[in-house]
Amino acid sequence: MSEDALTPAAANASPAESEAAFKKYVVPEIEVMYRVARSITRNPTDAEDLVQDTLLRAYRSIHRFDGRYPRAWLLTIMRNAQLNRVRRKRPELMRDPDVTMRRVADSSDDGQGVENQVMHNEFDASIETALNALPEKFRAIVQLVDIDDLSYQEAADVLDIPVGTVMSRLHRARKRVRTDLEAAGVTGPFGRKSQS
Amino acid sequence: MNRLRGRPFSNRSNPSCKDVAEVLQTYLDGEMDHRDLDAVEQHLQKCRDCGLEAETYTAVKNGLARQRMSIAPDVMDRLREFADNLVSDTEAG
Repeated sequence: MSEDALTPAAANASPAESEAAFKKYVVPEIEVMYRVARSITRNPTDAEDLVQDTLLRAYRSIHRFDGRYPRAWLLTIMRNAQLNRVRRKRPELMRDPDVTMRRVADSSDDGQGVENQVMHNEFDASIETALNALPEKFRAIVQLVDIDDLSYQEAADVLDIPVGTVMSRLHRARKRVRTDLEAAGVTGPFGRKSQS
Repeated sequence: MNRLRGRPFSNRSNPSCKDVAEVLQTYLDGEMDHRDLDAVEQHLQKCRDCGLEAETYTAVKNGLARQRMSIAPDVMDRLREFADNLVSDTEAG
């Protein structure tokens, strides 16, 4: 099958073409989708359900996908799926996405046990403390860009905010982390004078 | 998707510390205007303060990246199986 044939929106897609496009564009992104789902649900079970919901929605609409930026396309589907899930549970939360993220983040997370067993060195432990101390709207950006390795645009798609807002929040968040590290007396490059 | 963040410098070949400070984060994220990359890298190499600033934020970025949690293999197996079943269900009619 040619490359063009894997772009179903370019023509009337046959089931075989849609299936091939799904395997080409969607399946390779499952791990990223799960990481992002973990970040926005902060719950492993909810994250798995959200990825399944996203996969189902993606499969149903793959015939309309033009083949460009599959990750951005999938993350937008995931965001909408998550908004629908939260709306079903708590319709009053939908007025402010930041409130939504904060309230979702407040839900219990019973999947931390394994990760908490991992030993961190002093620096990473301080990083973790600083990350957890960030206000939710900053933590969410750091989680998506620095930890999940999304681009600015992809993080903007997930949170439905402008790229400029992603950049400004990210930079402010890193500055807070840096300040916390300095306050904690973490050594390394922080111990030396530099402009800020 | 977009690798051209940040405004061009007024003096592309010799940016000031202020110019570099404005684009440092986008530079570290690999999202800045590629036309200014060389000038920024050269500045960071020759300017101690800006170099330390970049080193500091690189350490922060790397430390944050190490917070990434591993994914249990069975989770990925279930999700890939779910995706496979979507396709095979269609194939079956």
